[in-house]
Amino acid sequence: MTSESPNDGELEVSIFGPGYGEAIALHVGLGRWILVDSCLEPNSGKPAQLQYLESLGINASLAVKLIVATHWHDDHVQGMGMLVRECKSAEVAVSAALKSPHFSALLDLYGGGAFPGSSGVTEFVNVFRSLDERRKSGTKINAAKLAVPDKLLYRDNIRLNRKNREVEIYSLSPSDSAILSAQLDFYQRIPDTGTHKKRIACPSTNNTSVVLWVRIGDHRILLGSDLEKTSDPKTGWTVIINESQAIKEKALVYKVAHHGAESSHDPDIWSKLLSDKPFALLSPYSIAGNSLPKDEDLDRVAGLTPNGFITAPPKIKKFRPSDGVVRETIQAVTKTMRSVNIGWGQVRLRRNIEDSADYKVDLFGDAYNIQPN
Amino acid sequence: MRFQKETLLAGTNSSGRDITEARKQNGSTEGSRVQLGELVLSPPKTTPFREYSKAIQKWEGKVISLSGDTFRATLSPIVGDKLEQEAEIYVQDVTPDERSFIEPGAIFYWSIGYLERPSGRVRESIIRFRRLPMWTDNEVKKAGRDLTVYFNE
Repeated sequence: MTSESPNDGELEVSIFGPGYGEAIALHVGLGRWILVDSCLEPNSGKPAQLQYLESLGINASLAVKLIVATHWHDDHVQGMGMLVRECKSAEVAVSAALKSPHFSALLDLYGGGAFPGSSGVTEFVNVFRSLDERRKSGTKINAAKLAVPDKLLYRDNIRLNRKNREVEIYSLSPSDSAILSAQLDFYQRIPDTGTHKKRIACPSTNNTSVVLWVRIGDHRILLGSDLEKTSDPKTGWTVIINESQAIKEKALVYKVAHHGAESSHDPDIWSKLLSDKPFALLSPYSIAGNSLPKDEDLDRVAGLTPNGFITAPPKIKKFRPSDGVVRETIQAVTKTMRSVNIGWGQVRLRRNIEDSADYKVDLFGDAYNIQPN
Repeated sequence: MRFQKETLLAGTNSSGRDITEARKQNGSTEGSRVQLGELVLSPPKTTPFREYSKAIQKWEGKVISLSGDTFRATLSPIVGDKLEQEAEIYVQDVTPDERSFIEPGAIFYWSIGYLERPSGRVRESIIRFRRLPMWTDNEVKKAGRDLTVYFNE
């Protein structure tokens, strides 16, 4: 991985992914960074973006200006607590669905020590703990912004060669209807007295995902999170495509929604929100017997743009233990067994904010261009 | 008075091996030992062999779903190979007493290794479900602090 940080006038979009997890880092100019979601880099066990910024010699506690947790799913929030703790000067934004007494109850019930290991709940408990610490130490930025459609989450001015370049980041979702249904879901997950304790299963919050619209000078970037297309016109991509006021031009970079799944594909995203031959960035998702993107998803994206890239191959990787006894026992006790993380990679786009040259693409680790040879 | 004595420790261990030995030691005579000049005869000492398990690989598992004769779970390593796994495990490999625990969110431990016994080493695979207590009325009613302070509109 190159250890050169982008120069002041360079825009960068990096996506990281191991197979179960996704994280994004944006350099908007002048050493200012925006981080979206979080996953762990397998070797260091640190949040991917922290590890990356460290490798570039960047002090994350000063450089990171905004952190967005797009939704409550383990593959998007692993390490989020550490990210917020370390990036002390960053604002934090979360889905407005989380401002709910029922979500708060779930944090109390499941965020304690009774449930070992990390989970999305634990990460959010740690995020609020860090905000608490900021408040106690007198830091002004000590509360999370709530993302709703067309809300300006971040504004900045980048002065390059005596010219001001505006930077704006809008949330395009979740819709009111999605927020209400998520809050009902949270309520239904509050356990009944007298039932056995167990770890909470992640709710179906894809439709409360925060989709982001990024404007840096003349450049536009659409970060699709895990938002899906729904049959309800008041939720999902339909609301954004039909009602968003923040989108005025087409984007040349698209973080493909929900790991390229068919359920998140709407042809109108490509025809109405994206430029011709956009840079389409994907990360794989592999859990509970589901692997995304499927072959047909990759074919579809590859048919829409020659500039499609994924952080790691979305293939099942069979687990082969190093110990023979373990290997034999697994064969007897399990029907299938495979590794959750199937690789690790980073797709990085860089371009000069001021000129019209195309993006330069760097692929690290297992990342590759999805275009068939 | 301190003196040096030679102690004869006689007997066999649980495997039948003769462990009789003479040992010089400092100290005084004790209990029922018979003192013959400088030679002290002690009753045979045997260390009971305790069975123990040695894990080669151990995971903490979380049940994702149950379907027919298998359940699907994520496995986070505790001992052994370090990568997180996902497996479909046969229900018959869970002791009948614990099968009612198999439901989404349930936590269990799966250990693969050896049981060391006096009669020899035995391979073992043990799946044990964590028995978490029940939710109390107090816990459920108390939950839900005011998060307003954490949010900016």
